[in-house]
Amino acid sequence: MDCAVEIDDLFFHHKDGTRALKGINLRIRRGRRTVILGPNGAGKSTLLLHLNGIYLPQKGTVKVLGMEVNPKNEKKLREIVGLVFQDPDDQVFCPTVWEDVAFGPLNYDLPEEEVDKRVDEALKAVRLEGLEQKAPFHLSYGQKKRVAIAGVLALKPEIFILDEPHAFLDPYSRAELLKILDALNGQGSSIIVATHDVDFAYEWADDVVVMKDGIVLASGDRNILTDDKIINEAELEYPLLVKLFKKLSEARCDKIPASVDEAAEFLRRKMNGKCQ
Amino acid sequence: MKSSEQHGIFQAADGRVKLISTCIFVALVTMIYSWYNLVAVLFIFTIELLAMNFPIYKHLKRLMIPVFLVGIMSALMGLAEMSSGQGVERGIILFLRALCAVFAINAAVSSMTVPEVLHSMKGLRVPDMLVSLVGFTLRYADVFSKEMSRMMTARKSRGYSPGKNLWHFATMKIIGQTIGALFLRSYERSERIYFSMLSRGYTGGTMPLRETSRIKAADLFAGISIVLAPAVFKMAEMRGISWIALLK
Ligand SMILES: Nc1ncnc2c1ncn2[C@@H]1O[C@H](COP(=O)(O)OP(=O)(O)O)[C@@H](O)[C@H]1O
Ligand SMILES: [Mg+2]
Repeated sequence: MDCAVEIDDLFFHHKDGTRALKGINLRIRRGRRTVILGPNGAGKSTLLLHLNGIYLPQKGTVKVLGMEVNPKNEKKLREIVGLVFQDPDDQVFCPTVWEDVAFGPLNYDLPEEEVDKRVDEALKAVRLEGLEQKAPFHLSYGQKKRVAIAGVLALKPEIFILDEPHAFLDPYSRAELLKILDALNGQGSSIIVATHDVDFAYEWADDVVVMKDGIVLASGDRNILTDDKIINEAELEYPLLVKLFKKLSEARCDKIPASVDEAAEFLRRKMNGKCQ
Repeated sequence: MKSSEQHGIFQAADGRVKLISTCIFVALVTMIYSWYNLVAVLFIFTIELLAMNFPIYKHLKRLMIPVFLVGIMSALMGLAEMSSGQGVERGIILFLRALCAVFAINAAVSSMTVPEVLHSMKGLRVPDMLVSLVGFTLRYADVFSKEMSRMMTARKSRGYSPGKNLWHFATMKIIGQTIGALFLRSYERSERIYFSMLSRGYTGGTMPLRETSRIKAADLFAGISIVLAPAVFKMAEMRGISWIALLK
């Protein structure tokens, strides 16, 4: 299997003694859309910070594209792995949008024309052209989030990781974000999203990883979210579509639809069958 | 890009020049001893700003509060020296000096955006650490004040109302807790900001910033105009020349 991330027996406790990761074993496939799903405090953010070497394994190993995560290759690693933090106020700290997006490329000593080009492209991708000289302070929350994403895009990472990207975003901004992610995935990037949003995981993910209390409870395709045992153990809820189709036993579908469109198609066929 | 037609010479002038000349202006003004020279400086500086197309009316509105504070302080200091019989004059001179300084600093800073101020400091070889510190402070002042007001709202919505005076024990306790919580949150946030910097390849050392542009003749012109008036009057004072005496 072509792996973006391989984690073996990973343990980590925070400075105050909180045991956040208690033996994680995980494979994340390359070029896929993976959702790491779990309730608050499951250890998702702590895990993500291991993928670019901000946290180092206290026990166990983490490999990214076959390269072991350790202080020696952290700089290279951070060019391959782009991490978008949950709160854009943590990530967008420069005086202007332009500088913030250029922060990464400048850290890698890229030539000036290359920096210009990358900033332009990144801002275009998140549709923020023309705001280069704005101070982040004057932007809306959704715009700040997009600046944060552009700042990561400008490094052209092969693996793109987002921690709770939907938090506090309005529906329109969410839809915009999904478009950006799908476009990246279409170009071959691996995308990893940590969230507790089961509906998002069910409709969007190729692969789903369910976490709880610092361990991986299950991983597989979206259908693990129709499993009663996993959902209960993880203290999550069924995705809305799953809930609906489990109640509609008379619909008698052998496979629960994967999206609203699929569900609509299925129901339309059923109803037409009845009427004719 | 700014054009001088749109914004006037003063606003378009290079930030480094404005910062430096304003510092010199302030230093000179604090060394001028006679009230009439200070009035003259203020008058000429105003004329200059007008000539350079500076929107002085907007500027004056913004000055109200600082001028009020400066006024009270000068009055207090003047009162303290009443016994020597020079209290009033001392008070007036202090007030005029402070007024000149506030006026010039405000004009310089309000004609620049935050990034311009930071870039200018950087261009003036102010240590990177200090520039980054000022930059972070300006960037996060707003985030923290919002956080603070959210905490206060949360307290109020659970029935807390501040006591009448500071000796009220429960009030003190709540204020203490709020400050403590704010401190902890800023600590946590600064860690997250640092992590996010590392995530984009930051390895410590200076924050990379863009090179600033060259200083042009128009910039120097604006800078010289700023320092001209206080320099001339200070020099006149040192040579014992008084324009007020010449009038008589
Ligand atoms: N900086 C930290 N210091 C101490 N404990 C932490 C820190 N960050 C997270 N934790 C704790 O570690 C556990 C996992 O947290 P986290 O990784 O943030 O979970 P999630 O992102 O899934 O909500 C929680 O119990 C949390 O309280
Ligand atoms: Mg988290």
